[in-house]
Amino acid sequence: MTFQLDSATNLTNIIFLSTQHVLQTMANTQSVLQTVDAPAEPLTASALAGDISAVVGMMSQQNQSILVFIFPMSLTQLLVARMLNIPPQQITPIECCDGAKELANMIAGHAKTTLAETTQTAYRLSLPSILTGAGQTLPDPLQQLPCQILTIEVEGQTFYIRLCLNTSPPERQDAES
Amino acid sequence: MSQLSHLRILIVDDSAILRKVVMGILKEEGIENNQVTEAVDGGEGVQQALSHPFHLILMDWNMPNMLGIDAVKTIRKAGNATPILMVTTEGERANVIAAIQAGANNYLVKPFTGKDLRDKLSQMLPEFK
Repeated sequence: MTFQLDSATNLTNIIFLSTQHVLQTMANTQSVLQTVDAPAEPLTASALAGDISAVVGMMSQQNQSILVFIFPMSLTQLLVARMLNIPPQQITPIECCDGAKELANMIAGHAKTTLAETTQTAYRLSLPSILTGAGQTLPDPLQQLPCQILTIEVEGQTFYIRLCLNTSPPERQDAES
Repeated sequence: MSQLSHLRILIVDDSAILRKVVMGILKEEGIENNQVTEAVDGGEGVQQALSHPFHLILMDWNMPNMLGIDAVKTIRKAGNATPILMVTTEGERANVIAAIQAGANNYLVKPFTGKDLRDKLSQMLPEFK
């Protein structure tokens, strides 16, 4: 089953289209958006389990977003193997982490460029942070922020992109007088 | 012996996977791994660029220690004219212009295919034509 995005969810659209583009270009894989959920309640600790998570901050003058890419190890192995054109079993866990980080970096970067072109809004990105641990679940420190969860299927496996959006502008540090 | 066997290339990127992707494409073109030097951040990239001769530098933008654009400026300020190809996710027009003004010779936006990289190499290295 595929999920048709509401055209109003611009950022979500852009994130998914960037994901499609990056995975197709770098790993020659097709991505299918299964669902987009906007939980009304904060996520429970058991939600969105994965093995490797890549966290990227995206900030403009108007708002701040956090993208969390949550991958199973087996899918990361497959994607990195496709990027390197070698069998998946030759990919080490460290390479999986680095590959997840770079894919998250590219997806966020492509989204940033698209946003700049379509909304004339400049964004800055953080360097991705990687969290690893089989079956990890992330705590939910962003309970007050609206979030959307994209469930994406690639090669019969599922990964998640959690998009947390804070519509408040980032705090500014005043220059010393 | 390949006509490319004399080439020495520096890859500056904090992603080991990305460096391997590039080296794989270069190898398909006849440039062996021992012709390639890797640097994991801008600072190491500058160090390598200024202490060894290279025919081409591939430079990422967002790296710890030193940004790629700052590494480009530092290399050019030292009088080093090695051709530099920015390979980066920074795709906005303003960033492309900034990189060229800093001294980069060409620009490749991630994600890229093998063909995309080969096309840039053809533009920058006579041996690839």
